Amino acid sequence: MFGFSATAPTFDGFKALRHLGPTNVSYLAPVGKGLTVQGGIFASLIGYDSLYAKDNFNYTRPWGADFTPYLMMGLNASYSFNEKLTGAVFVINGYWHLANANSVPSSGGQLAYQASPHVTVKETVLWGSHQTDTSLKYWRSLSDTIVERKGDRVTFAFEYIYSSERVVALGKPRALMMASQLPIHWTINKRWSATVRPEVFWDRDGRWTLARQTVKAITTTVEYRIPYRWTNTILRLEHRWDDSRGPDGGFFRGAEVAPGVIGLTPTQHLLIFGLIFTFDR
Amino acid sequence: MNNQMIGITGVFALTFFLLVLLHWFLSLGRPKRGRFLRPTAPRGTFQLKTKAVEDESPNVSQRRDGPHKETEGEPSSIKATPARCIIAAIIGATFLSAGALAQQANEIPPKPANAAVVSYVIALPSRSASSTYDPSAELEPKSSEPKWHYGGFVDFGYLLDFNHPLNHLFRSRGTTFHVDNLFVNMAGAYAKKKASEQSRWAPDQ
Repeated sequence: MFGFSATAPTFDGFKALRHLGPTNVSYLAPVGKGLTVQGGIFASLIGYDSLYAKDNFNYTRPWGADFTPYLMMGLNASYSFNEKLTGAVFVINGYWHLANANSVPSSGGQLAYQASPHVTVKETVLWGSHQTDTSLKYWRSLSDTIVERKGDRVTFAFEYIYSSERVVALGKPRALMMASQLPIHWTINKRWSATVRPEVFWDRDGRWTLARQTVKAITTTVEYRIPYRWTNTILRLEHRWDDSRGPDGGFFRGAEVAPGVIGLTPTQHLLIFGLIFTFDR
Repeated sequence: MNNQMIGITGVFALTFFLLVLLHWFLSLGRPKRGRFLRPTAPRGTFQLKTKAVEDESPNVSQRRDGPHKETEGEPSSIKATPARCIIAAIIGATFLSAGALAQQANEIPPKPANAAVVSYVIALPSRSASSTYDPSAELEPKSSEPKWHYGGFVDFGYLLDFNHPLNHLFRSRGTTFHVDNLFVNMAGAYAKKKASEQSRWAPDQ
């Protein structure tokens, strides 16, 4: 589940916190053009996709999104240097906001540059310990690069995530995760839109998913929106093909092959129906 | 027709019914349009309603708020009478309680193991002050005090898995991992205010 770690213990009080989305307080400090300081649980600076399907192009999220933070808990400060360049720094409790790997905070920063009225480039980095041994050599690093082009009707983006850490284990092996996606979104008219999202995800050492696997996926979505005053009803029909290979790869299939063990198969097709109702005042 | 199909049909029918009910209720008291053309008002009386777009920096926005630009409905001209508020509250409570029930029925304690574990979360979503796209913020008049915004959502999903796994799980996933079952993936409500020079503090929940 998002917010929790596959390898680190759970944060005390997670039962209450897991029900909270962004819950924070911002202060616009009178520094230069205005420095915004925000504290609490806030939307992660890493990633292209939101935790909430209503804010995404597709109903299901990409692999890279599921294994990077959706939310962060701590402090951040952001500042616009000029019309094109914005920077942000943050200090958070850890990679997963509901995990308690240790008491050492993680930190990072972001630079976003608007190369043209339609093109934005963003680079975010995160650095921090995600193990009980908090020595610097065991810290996890993450880089997230996003290039987005937003046109009147067509939006496409490219995202590349790289993360690595040396594991406290015999031989101190280095664990590695990479993810990339290329969503293309076409707004046909006010109500109809379509999206195709090819992606690839590689958890070389099974540190993020607990399964050493390489996943390729293509997600295709058709969306129909019914805006009515301050409500919006979103209907999505989606097809998703996933292919997981590697020593521990595969998707569940059929019945148990042994007591308590479901069989695995490398490919999976999903047909998804989504209904999202929102209101905003 | 098995119980599962009946359940899916029932939820969709209930949702449709509530939308129709909402539509009907909001249309109460609204004058019906005649079939015939009416003379238009003199041009001089026409007032262009515009709102100043807030001068936002382009990119602080790049938080993980999702890429989708929401298509907003027109601002409501209907006043919030007590009766309308009650109806809206009932409909909202129905959606949220459905979410809560679904969560109770499917709650599994989180395990520090393979990601495919817990079901869904009642979350309080919001876009941060530096959101990629915040329609309400863009429409905020420059001169006036920032307003509070509130809202909510409910998200139903059905993932038909052609592998039909017995455990109904999408392996190695942290979100939308329930397959072959109708599920309330998320539901939530929020209230937020944008920080500005007039009001520098801004809570968001």
